Amino acid sequence: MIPFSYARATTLDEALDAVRDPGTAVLAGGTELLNWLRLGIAVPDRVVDISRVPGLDRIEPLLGGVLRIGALVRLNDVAADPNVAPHQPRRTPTRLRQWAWVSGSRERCRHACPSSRPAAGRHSPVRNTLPMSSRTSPISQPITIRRAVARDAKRLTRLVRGSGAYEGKYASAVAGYRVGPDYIEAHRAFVAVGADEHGGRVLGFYSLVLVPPELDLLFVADEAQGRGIGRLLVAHMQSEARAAGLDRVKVVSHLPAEDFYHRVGAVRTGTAFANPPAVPWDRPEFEFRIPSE
Amino acid sequence: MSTVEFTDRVDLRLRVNGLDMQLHAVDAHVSLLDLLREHLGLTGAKKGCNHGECGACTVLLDGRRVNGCLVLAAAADGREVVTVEGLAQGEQLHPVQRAFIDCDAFQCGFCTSGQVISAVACIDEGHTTDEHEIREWMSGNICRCSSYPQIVEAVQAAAASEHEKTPS
Repeated sequence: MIPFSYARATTLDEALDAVRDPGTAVLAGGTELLNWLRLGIAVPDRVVDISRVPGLDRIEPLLGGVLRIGALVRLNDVAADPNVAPHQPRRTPTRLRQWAWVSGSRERCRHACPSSRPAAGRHSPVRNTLPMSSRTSPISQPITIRRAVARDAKRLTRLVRGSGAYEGKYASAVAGYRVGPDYIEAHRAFVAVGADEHGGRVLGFYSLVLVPPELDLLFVADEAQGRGIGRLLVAHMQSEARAAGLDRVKVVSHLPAEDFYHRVGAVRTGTAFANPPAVPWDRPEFEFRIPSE
Repeated sequence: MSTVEFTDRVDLRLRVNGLDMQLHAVDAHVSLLDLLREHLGLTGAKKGCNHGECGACTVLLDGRRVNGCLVLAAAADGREVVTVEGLAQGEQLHPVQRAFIDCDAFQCGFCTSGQVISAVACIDEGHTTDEHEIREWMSGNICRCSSYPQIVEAVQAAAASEHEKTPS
């Protein structure tokens, strides 16, 4: 862990005063922050401990059916709260719910990625691109997803061919690959772009083929990995599939992306056997089940 | 507005397995797990993943289960820590330790100290109604050898023996 200096705030005023210095991270339970410190996702100069600031451990009903949940309320306590319990799905492991505090989860949501592991696309395996330049808020720009247009063809082709996931022994699979304007118009192709999209920078994309239902392509640019973009694209794809009336979507995974598909909820269904010369290796086959709403 | 003072090193007071300890000039970035293992020589809590996923480093902090790797030692100042070394009374094993042996609830043993600590708290919390509840509330502790059936059995056995001791 990178060294930092530490102070324990005893009042809310002390905590607020401390975080005016932008190099300051806030520690409550620590179940998120400590890993971030370890992995270099957060590199603060200072850590202010708010775990003993009084008054932050309460769940208070406000007017209009609104709940105020203090930053030091443990997730398990939220789950057990009579105002919350009927609506609370159990997704976080029990252990973390026992010690993980609301403040950390808020941080985590901002990342649109439930774990500190980088997301990887079908053709973009996990690479350790964790140090994310900015200090304590790795994602500053929001990401939008829009329909791909014919004009995107060259950019998407470049993204496929330049993907680090297909270097070395995998290179043959994408060598002549082309995401053409016709393909883009024929299928449900969507791109993820930074909000400013200056210079038309594409962070990732996917294409959903409806007949037969298959997630045909999913790429996240090498330098944009680890920010939850792959997961965002998958969620978007699922809502597109649902809107199209599909109940399942097949994926033939690139080998290095297998773990990614497990993490985003795809179910392993079998193996797609080698298809030389383009793909001379077996690939795991997955399926997304699309619940109707 | 009041201001707090940041320091690179901290002085700590901890009660560890019933002993009051004072530690001077501990680096602020040291985890509770590293403090126990490297500074205090208590190597019962294991560093499995060091990411809060495996539970091998489980200790009790003021009676609640925590992953030692996810707690900053500095943040534990003034609190009470119990590790697996603190369970036995001399040569007399804790009932949960006894039950783990009786039920053969381990193979390689690497996760065992975390499992045992976790089981002690699981029983204290009363989360032992049935196998499902035990599995849910022990789910923060992973066993690579997959001794789960025996672990559940051990927790049930220890919980039952606790019940015998405490008339309700």
